[in-house]
Amino acid sequence: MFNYFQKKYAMSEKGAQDLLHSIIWTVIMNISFMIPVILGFKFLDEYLNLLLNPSHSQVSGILYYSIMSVVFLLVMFIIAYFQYEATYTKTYEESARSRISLAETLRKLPLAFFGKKDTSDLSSTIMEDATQIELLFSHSVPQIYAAFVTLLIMGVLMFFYNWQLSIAVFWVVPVASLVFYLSRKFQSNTHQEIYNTKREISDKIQEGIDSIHEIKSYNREEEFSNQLNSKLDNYEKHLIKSELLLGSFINLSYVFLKLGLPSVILYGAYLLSMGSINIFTYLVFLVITARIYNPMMEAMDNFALLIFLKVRINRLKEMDKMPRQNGKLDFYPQNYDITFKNVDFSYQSGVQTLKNINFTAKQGEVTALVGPSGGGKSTVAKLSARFWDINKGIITLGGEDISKVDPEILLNNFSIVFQDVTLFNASVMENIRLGKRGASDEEVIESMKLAQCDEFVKKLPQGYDTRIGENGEKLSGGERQRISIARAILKDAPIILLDEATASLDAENESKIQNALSELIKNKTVLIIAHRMRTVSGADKIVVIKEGEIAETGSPSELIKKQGIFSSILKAQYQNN
Amino acid sequence: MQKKKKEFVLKRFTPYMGKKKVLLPLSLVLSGVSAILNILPFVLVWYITRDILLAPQAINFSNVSFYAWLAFGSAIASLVLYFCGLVSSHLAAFHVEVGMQKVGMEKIISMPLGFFDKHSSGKIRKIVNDGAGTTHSFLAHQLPDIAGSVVSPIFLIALIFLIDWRMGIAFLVPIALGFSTMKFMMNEEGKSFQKKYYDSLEEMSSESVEYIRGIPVVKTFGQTIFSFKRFHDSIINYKEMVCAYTRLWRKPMSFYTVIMQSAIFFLIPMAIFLVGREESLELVLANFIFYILISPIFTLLLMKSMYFQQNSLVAEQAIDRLDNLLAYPIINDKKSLKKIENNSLEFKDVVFSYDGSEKRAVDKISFKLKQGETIALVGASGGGKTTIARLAARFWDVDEGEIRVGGINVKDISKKELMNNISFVFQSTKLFKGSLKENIVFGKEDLQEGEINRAIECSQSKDIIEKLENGLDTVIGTNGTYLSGGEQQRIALARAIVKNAPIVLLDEATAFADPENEHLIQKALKELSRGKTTLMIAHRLTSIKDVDRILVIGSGKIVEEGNHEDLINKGGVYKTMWDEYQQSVSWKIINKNTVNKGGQNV
Repeated sequence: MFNYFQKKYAMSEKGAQDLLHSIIWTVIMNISFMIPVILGFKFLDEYLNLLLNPSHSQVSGILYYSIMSVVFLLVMFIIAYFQYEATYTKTYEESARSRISLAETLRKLPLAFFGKKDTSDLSSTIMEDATQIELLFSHSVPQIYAAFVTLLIMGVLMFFYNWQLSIAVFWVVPVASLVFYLSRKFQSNTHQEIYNTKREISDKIQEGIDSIHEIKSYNREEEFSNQLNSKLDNYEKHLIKSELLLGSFINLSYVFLKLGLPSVILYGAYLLSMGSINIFTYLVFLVITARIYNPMMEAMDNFALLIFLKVRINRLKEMDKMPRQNGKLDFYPQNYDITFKNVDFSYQSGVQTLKNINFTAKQGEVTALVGPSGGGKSTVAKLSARFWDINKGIITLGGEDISKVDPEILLNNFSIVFQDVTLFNASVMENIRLGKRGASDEEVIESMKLAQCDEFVKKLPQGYDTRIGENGEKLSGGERQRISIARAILKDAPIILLDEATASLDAENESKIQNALSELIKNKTVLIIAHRMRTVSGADKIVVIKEGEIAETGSPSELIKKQGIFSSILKAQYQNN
Repeated sequence: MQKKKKEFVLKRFTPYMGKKKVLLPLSLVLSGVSAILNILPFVLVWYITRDILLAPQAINFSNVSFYAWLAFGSAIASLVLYFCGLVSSHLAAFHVEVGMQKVGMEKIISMPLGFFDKHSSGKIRKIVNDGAGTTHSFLAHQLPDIAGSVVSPIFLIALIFLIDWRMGIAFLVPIALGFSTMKFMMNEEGKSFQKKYYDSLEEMSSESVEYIRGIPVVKTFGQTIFSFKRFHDSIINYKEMVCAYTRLWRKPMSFYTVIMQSAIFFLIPMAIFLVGREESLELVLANFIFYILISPIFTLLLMKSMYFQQNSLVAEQAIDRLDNLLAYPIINDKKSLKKIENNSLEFKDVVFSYDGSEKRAVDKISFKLKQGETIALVGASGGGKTTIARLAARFWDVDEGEIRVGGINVKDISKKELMNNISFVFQSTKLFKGSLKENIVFGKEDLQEGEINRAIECSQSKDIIEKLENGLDTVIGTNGTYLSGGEQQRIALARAIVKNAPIVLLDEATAFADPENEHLIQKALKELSRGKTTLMIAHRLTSIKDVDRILVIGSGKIVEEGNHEDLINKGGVYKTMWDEYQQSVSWKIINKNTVNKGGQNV
């Protein structure tokens, strides 16, 4: 049973155990809730006898029942008390455990995983899922299981008591369940359809807002509204269709359930008149029948929750399947030369992104990656820092295979300045200090000055201590870039990965930033993704990458002499200015 | 806003109901009747037991069967009515959901463009979608229960007292006890605890978003342990909090759960007491059975009415968010038909500050662009260049002064007319899902083949289209055909060229997103503004050497004005910028160490 839960709900061993406990306690509690009814039956039994055979019957008085009531109340309270503990407290403990292990998993995922927007969305969705799952486990899941178990136990007991009337009670259940089951199957089909149309609408709305400049500027408001409205009308039609069908199905199954009551009334009355049961039995079954279908209907309704839960749990499980990167923690390379040997790489199977890449970026030299966009330049740069693991070949740093080194330890040797900057909702100071843990305020401010942050930061309401909002939303693109450069300057790692576009994004400060970068790259291994050929004509080595392969390598002067791709791009760019 | 909050929640949906207003009350009535019919079977079972108990020896079979089928009939009728109520509430819910999105989006797209600077597209979409979604589930599933949970407790309480008021009191004692426990727990301490709980939940979830978003950067700096620890702490913190909260509720909640199940414990002594008072034993027993029958549904219904309040609050908040979003001041669109006669653009003592900001973003700016002239705005970022360009396209209305297009105040020109005369290329422009041709033609249906070709040529997009198998008919985003940012921009420029508006506003920064395409985009921009009245925000100073006039903008004011040569000769701000720019253009990545290497070895 543990194993089943552990697998099904992606739980820890302790969590699965706790869930089982919680279900057992809930079943016990449900059964304890029958105590009042049973006491009521005892009362009925005694006083019915008094009514039917007044001569030889004995009844208990108020005192007896009051004492029994108090005792039972106490017992029920104790049971409920334990059930509460077993369900709520334990659930929160388990979900804390699962959140922590999820956080641990996320930390170990390859860096490039976070570059893709949808995947990072996915991971935050999963964290939200954790809250939903927690809610379900504390308020619904044990209750659903317990309801089924309790109903089963009750059914068995009733069969022992009187099998004929029990059949009258329960014959409707399989029929109703069948109809219900069919409707669920049908639902998951239409559900997908509706989900798709809904998604379309959501995309259309997003598209409309994203391109509002175009819509307004071209006076296309009406067309947009018409398109959206027709999608919405279509959505409404789908909804109505599915709701009517599904609703009829489910209600049909309830109609069958409701047939149970008259069957018991009629069949019981027949049995009573035949003398095969007594009045007491008849009344007992009437009471039970009147009460039993509501919890059944609820259990059926709640069943949908389990399906809902499954979707979320599956997302969690998917997370576990993600490739994780590990490696040794002691890594002391002799030098900082990066070498690619016969490297093949593809983001997804079947589509080869890089093929047979061979080159060395030497320490103390600037190596420029050049080529058309989409050719694989940034992939090469990212692979050198183990953003992904490669499919074939080997990448070494100081002679050691980087795939054997823990990514974080490896990354200690890199300063990375790319276009996508991530900032935290903390002060400017703290955002930069991230570059070097324990750096003094003076060091941080010094690097800010070098990266030309100083000026704009001072203008912020609280200067260096201004909080910059979620992901730095209060700053402009150029300002964000400069903060990321300040971080890199502060970190001062032996290897620099730099996307040149970063430096040129902020036109007003371009020259100052470039000075700062020139300062930063002294005596380092520098790998630069270059866009303007002029900028790299002073590089030590140029690697031209085109369509995933190395087209040319050599020093700028060699390549110009060669009259190949590099020289043609260079010419084209000169002509333009 | 304040007034509106007091309105009954259902009333707030009416603006979105359109022609289907009748559905909501219909659903209420149907489900109300259904709720009463749903209780009837219990009453009938009570009748049966009473009949049997009163005459145990002579069961009237036909009576029993009559009651049985009547019970079944009313149960089915209740179901059918409930279903009809559910259908009409669903229809209403669908209609409101769809209506909210229609009305909401219609309002949103008629907002002035400045609105979209203030709110991210994701956020707007979320508010519209969530608002619609929440109200959908509220209306569809909660609405039929409202009537039920109001009508049936009233009906039941009436029955409870009518059948035997003394047993009725015994019946209600535990329920009253349960509710007063709840009430007691919701005191100040309980409430503040609840608030703390929600706060720490929120803290943890925002912490988690930040943790995940931060992983890549934290990882590159080798500090995931620390950020992990922070998140870890917030998880533990939340757990402690919530466990403390559950401990607080443990006893009262257990008591509540149990007491709600124990009506029978109170009924039995009362029944015995009544029997002792020489009441008819048969009746007491039959009534006793009635109370046993209804006790579970009674508690269930009370619970439902509690949930209803909670859920209606959620729905209300969703509508509030939408209303707040739409409360942005709308720019009056004059329908008056003042035609623009020439293509000049003039700023006259224009003053503008952003909402909630004391600082003037644009401070008494005046300039005039004659037809066919080009003016470039330069200056440090944050100085007001972008605001000036956007004011010209009427993203916002000015606070003081006026902006004239073709000699007419923009406030007196209809939006349509204004947009027909102005093209703007500001941010990285977006393409629509659709073929390239549709994207370029965009609204100009009567376009000649030749014009399209010219636009493609001028926007430097020819190579993009030639590269594609299906050429102009390629649908972007299908079969893995994606265009790079720069390529998309060129297509968007082709669109602007097709539009051929006489006044062009452009932000050159657009070009920097994609360095490989930069020079092509520069060329396309030049084509777009050829012969047009052009206001451009310039970043690459080389590209503005030849414009008619340059305005240097700083702190919302015009600092210097003149053509390139004048300004260079003047030796002011522009000259400094120019010198610095020259320096950065000639920048090369040279490893200073390499250069010095030889020297060091000596």
